[in-house]
Amino acid sequence: MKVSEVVAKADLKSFNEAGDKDIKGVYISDMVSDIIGIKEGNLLVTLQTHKNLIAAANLVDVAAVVFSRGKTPADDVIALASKAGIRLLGYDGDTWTLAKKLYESGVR
Amino acid sequence: MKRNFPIAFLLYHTVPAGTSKDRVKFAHYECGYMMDVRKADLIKAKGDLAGIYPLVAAAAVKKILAAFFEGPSLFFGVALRSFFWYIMRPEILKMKTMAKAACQHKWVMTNIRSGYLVIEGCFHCRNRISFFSEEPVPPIDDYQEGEHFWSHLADYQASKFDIKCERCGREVPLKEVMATMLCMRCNPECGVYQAGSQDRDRKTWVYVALCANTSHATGQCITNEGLRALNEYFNSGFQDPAKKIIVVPCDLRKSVDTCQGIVLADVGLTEMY
Ligand SMILES: [Zn+2]
Ligand SMILES: [Zn+2]
Ligand SMILES: [Zn+2]
Repeated sequence: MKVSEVVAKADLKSFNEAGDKDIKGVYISDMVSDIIGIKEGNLLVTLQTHKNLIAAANLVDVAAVVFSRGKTPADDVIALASKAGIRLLGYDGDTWTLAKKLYESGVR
Repeated sequence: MKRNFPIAFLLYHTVPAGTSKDRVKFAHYECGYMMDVRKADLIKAKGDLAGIYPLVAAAAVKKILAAFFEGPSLFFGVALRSFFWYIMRPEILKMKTMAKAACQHKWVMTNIRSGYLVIEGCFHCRNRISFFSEEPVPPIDDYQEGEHFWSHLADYQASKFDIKCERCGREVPLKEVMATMLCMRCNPECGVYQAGSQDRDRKTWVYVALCANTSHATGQCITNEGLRALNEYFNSGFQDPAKKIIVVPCDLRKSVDTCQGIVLADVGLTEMY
């Protein structure tokens, strides 16, 4: 499934318009040290809006990042993500509700 | 194909008397490209191999009994076999090494450990060292080591890993790598910046493998093999074929103090809320 499809189905906010990659899975984590080990193509769900996260997300080639609980990344974080072709998305509810919503949208 | 005829023919005719036929057993396993045997067949192979041991033991007992009666021929047989091994062993070993070297490695992370990246500084020489601690609480004590006075500067949650090839089993330990860092292109005079500027495509990203001693006083940094494996690992499976990651050793870095690179550890996690 493409990132753009999930954005429409799960009603997510967009912080930038970078790339429309294929989603191969979902990974939920707030720790940079944990993300380094994941496979490429994951939709990364996190609360962490630090720049470190983008540096790690780029290395493991995530499909996109979704910030839950209404977390908003700073401008320099958005700029770095855009340069790296990483779509940044937002969701106002908690991570569990977002996870259910992603599942219902057909993300596996 | 049920039976590999050329191999069967060859084996049955190595000993003209035809006795080799009794010593060879064929079994068949389905496999894909190269040596990727299906899991079900691997289990079958294991069972088949286990079944061979009793047969071998029985044959050995028979042989010892026979030797008791007709000694000289057994010794002749053993001598012949030893001679064969003596001649062929280097060739067999060489073939095994060649198979590994020819492998199109498919790297995966292995031995993933989580712990702390502890950074210490010496106020005397202003050098910085780091190490990875797997203790539940990272050490913070100051200590003297020769002319250095190491003080705890910071610790961050981090993870450490090695790299292993799924195909040939080759393992590349990355014990010198303390963390990776994204180059933010802050200084055109820095070797890390230059490593990326050779490739002007904006989809190229340079990451630095940070070793434990930023002064490189011992002259050691990450190994070439580790560097090669990291580059291959991180460049596999990108959706965008134009994207490229270059991992470089930290001894290319010009200045630790002014470097704007982003370390991939949980640095600044408290700034999160
Ligand atoms: Zn290999
Ligand atoms: Zn010192
Ligand atoms: Zn180094």
